[in-house]
Amino acid sequence: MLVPHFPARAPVLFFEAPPKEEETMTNNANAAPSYVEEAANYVFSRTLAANEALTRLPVLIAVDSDFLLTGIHGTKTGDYLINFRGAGGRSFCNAMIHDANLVGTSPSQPTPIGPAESYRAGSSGPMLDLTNLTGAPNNVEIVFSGIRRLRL
Amino acid sequence: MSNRPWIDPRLIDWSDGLNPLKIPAFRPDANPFVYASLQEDITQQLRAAKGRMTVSAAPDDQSAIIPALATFEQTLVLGGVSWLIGFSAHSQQPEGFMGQATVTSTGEPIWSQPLWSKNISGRPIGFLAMPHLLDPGQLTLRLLNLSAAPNRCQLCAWTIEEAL
Repeated sequence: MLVPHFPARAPVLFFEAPPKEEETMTNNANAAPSYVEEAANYVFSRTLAANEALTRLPVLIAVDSDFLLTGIHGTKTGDYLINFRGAGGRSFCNAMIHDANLVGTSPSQPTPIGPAESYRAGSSGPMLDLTNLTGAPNNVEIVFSGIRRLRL
Repeated sequence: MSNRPWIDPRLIDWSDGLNPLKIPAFRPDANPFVYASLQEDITQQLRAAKGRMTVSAAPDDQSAIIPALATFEQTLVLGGVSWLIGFSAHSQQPEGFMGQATVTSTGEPIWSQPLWSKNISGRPIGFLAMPHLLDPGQLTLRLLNLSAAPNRCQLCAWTIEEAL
């Protein structure tokens, strides 16, 4: 009688099961979340040369967590025009707009963004278009505040 | 302050940018008007919806300058069904401008009379008491430059587009 030298093995699966649909706080509040949320701020800082116009400046998102943008504030030394892109790549504004129309001036009262834009981990984030309106160097600092979503 | 009820931070939706509990300056003791506006049932539904916030500006040409004491008018075409939630305004000249927004399809003005730009803007958004439905999403903005000099100014409409 032949005796098998090796026990029967389960077939090997070469493909992992598809990931479960992402849960959000709003539509599935009772389910245990698969992530941890904590406050996060992405800071963009740059000195614009006189009358300089720049496009598609990335604000890199960390590779370990998604980022939900809920507010914008910042400081400057001169006026400038601004636009940025949402998570889907579409421009947030239909045109370049004056910074006073978009960027809040106080950390306690940022310009609220809601529903929040959700940027994927490792993405280029809110890619900025900036145009300096002054004939002098302009120190611009913009804070994108929101929630960092770390996957467990 | 001492008799205000304590709210468990775990019960606050921090991912909601329009949540007054998240932004101290929007709390009822700091700004009751904005707090009431954000607590409107429709606003809450919009906050929970899978929509998208957009800003639409007039003039939309970044180099546009309105001549002295001249009027500029532009009709904005917004995407799909949009809810108008507020405005922001900026003027390079201190005299500012008079602004008016009209629902293009009905001719209904947002304000009973044209409004001075500094009374339109908040910090920077001046919220409406409740969102205004724009269907189809068209809004006409009119600006009258109050300065005797050319003025680089903009009136911005803040909307939330419904997601399909």
